[in-house]
Amino acid sequence: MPKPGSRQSAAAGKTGPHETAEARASLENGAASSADASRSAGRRVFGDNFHVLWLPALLLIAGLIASYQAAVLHQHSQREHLREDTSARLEPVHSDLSRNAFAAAYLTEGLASLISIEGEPSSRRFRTLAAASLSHNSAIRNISVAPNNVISQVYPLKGNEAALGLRYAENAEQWPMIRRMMTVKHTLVVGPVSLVQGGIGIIIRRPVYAADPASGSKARYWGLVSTVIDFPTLIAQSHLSSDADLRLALRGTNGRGAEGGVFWGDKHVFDANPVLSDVTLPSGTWQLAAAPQKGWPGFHAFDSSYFRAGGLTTLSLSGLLLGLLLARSARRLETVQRTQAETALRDSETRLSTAQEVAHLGFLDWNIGTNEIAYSDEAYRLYGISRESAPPTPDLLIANVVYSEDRALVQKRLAEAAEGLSKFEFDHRILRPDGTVLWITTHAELVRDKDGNPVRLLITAHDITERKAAEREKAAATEQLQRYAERLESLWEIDRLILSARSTEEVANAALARTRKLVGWPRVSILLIDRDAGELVMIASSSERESVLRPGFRTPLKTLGEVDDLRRGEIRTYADVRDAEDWPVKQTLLDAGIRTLVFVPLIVESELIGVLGLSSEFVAESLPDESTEILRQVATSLAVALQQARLHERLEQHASELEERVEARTAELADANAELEAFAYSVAHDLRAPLRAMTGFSQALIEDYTAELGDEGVDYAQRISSAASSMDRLIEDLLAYSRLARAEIHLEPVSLRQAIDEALSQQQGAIETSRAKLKIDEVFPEVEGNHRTLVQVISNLISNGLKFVAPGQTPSIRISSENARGRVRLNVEDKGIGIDPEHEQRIFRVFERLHGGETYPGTGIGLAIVRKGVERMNGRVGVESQPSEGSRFWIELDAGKEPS
Amino acid sequence: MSTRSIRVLLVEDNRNDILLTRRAFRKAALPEPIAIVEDGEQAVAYLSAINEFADRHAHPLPDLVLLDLKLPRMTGLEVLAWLRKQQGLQGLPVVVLTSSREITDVNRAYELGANSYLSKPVTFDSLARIVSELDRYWGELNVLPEVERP
Repeated sequence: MPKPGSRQSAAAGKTGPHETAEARASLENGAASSADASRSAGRRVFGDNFHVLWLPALLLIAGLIASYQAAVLHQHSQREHLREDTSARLEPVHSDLSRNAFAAAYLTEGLASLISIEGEPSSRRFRTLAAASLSHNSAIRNISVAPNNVISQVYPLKGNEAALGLRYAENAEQWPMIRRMMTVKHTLVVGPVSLVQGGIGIIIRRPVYAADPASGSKARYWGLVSTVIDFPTLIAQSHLSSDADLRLALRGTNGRGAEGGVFWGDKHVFDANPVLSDVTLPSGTWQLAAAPQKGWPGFHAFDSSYFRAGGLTTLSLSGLLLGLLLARSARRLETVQRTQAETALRDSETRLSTAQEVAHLGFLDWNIGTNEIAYSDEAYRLYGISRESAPPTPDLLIANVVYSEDRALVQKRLAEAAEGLSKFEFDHRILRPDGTVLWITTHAELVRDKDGNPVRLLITAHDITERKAAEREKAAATEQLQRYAERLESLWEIDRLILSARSTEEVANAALARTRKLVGWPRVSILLIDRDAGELVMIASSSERESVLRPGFRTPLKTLGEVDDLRRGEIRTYADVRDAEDWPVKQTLLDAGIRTLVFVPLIVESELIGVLGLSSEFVAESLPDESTEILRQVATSLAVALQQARLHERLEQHASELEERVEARTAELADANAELEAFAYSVAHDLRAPLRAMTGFSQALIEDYTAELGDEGVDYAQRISSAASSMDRLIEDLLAYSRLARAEIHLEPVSLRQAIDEALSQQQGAIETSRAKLKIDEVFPEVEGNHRTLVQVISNLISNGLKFVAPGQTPSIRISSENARGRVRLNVEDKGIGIDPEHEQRIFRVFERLHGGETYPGTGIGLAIVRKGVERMNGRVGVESQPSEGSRFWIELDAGKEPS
Repeated sequence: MSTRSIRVLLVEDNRNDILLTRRAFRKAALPEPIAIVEDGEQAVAYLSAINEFADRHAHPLPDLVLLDLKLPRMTGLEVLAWLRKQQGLQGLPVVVLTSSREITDVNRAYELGANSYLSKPVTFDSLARIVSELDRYWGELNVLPEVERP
């Protein structure tokens, strides 16, 4: 077909330029006219020149497909970006949920292990521990312990009263989970559930296994400890409610993850192709779902401006190509093909640029041969490179943009790429001219020529700074959680040691080593204020190395200076001891190698009792907040325990002092008693011997020398004898009195009748001499007393009644008894001279006499012996008297109990 | 008066008391004590027939010992305790005659085997009566044990 071909060619050549010009014009005038132009051109060439038509048509179709794909790519990347963004926004949410759950779990486990060691804590101890733990976590509603599955203690009690006494075995809703916990034997997360005490909570339960120390058997199930997280508070604290753009939902009741029911949020979120993430729990997981409020962007490629713009461009180009083809016919085909390729390339670039811009993807085209890089718009923006100057070469890019620490890595990766690794991907940081550091993930693809030599490296760079930040935050949160758990455990341990300690030293040593490890300082000491000595005394210390400052070290109290800050509970820091001026201990501290010193006040009932001292040989920065908090807590427990131990020690010291004093006094008394006995013995023997000589020899004089003495001489001798006799009676009475006071008196039921009879027979001589009238009752009860003493008492009373009568009168004595309320009163009445009421008490004292020895001879000890004797028998004595009418002496003793 | 008066060993350190006791014996028309020793050790020596008392004929064993408690060198109670452990002397009647009326002394003396405990009366009449009673009781009424004479 060369002929017709050439003819047509000529025609085409004639009309071609015209058509082309027309097509160009219509391109400028808009899409519609361009389409008309294409159609008219097609009509004209259709009949005889069909092949000219299909090339532009093919181009058009390819163009449309490409535009469609660009639109799809754009929308897809937009959507992926949104999902990624959503996922990043969920990070803090599920880490918060997780952290709260784990914090409660650590608490639960701490209490459980305590119980397994010590058994159920006392209510005071439980309250103290629970209060200390809860002060860190406001999401926790309560802690409870349930020996044998019955809740025995709850903290706080207020608002949770209903939980107290709950028998799990009788609670249909909770019992299955308790059974499960007993089966799996570890911590179990339950809920959310409706609580017995009202409200909704997440319950962290832990079974407790305790060995019975009595039987020595291995650990058996003791009961459980549970911590309840208030569900609404948990939600409020977990950023869940704050995200207005997202619809969120949680599922996985009882930690069953995707299999568990939806318990919070809109359950339809799970059907809306959500972003899912797992919330790790101490047992099992929850699943968190998120979807945008407006839903995910849909695929509407034909509506996309990318598609429309691309389609129109292609259409125009197709028209243009058609015109060219018609004008230049077949010989222009090569040119047309080139145009087509250029168009495809341009189109591909357009497509790429669009996608990049949307996804924050920077594109770098590195021509290996020329060692130049072509940067996309987004790449310029991403790297912060100025468009004014020449695009940086790879070396310059690495030197100026890549973050210094990551340069080696980037160079290594690029070298690997150059060696022929076709694909690679890695993350690195860049430092932008504005000073910001971004994390970039880089994908690279190597393009080779037909011989397989690398010619270009196509690199996409994506800004992942936000994702990295979220990851870091998550790692930090996890680490913090772990530290918190460790800290909690250590504090519990310290608390346990402090509370179980007895002496000040024990308390101090128990706490120090652990505290030192916990805060990571080389040396921790306790210094207490000794107010009496006006000194600060180191009572204990825990140190990495030996130090010259050992327990027992004392320094004047003024070392602390003004203590107002410490009294207020503030921690005092000497960042560098060398900077301190006019400080008495400065040189001592420097000699001991101490550079930094921290004083944490120990306060009990608003009294500063000492400080917890931390020291280091290095100049340290200020304490981290976490250490500060630990130290405050340790200091609080320590101060209370120290004060208690101090009081305890002081009490013991007082007790032992008192005991010593009692012992000393007892020994003194025993000595005095022994001396008194020796004295009495001496008196009994030696004092009376001369009296015997006096009476004996004066009587010998009277009998053997009556004539020589004469009446007067005999009378004198008689007086000597009688004076000596009365002195002997006096001694005898005094000895009797002192014996009565000192001797042990054994009390038992004795017969009053027998005692009276014996006393009467003792006084028989005097009764006969005075011809006294006696009236004595027939019957007397038994009394609680001592027979010998009782006889002496009654005998003295009778003697008294016989003696004190008016001269010339006959004594008259009546002896009777009365019973009253377990007591027996014995009355000895006389019709004697009587006693003035004012003397009624005096007469019972030793040596008290109302009358001269001439009228009524006597020692003045008789009634004193009566009183002493009665008192020794737990009785009372008294007298009722009318002067010149007579007296009634009475003694009152316990009635004798019948021997059973 | 008695057909056979008892032979008394008086153990007494107070010279006045010795004098008065001897007079009481005279007043009661009794032979005076066969021997008077003034401390506990001498009492033991006499009863053991040693030292200056070695001659048993010159210093015969008494029928009765009148023993004061408060004595120099060896107390009356110690003498009594010693006596009750001596073969042949265990049965020798011992009458304590002392100024003490302390119940502890009385009890201790009886525990150690005193046959009687008398408190020295302060009046001479009483002493004479006691001596007379002693003789009547121990010399006439009482059947004395046989005391071995070494």
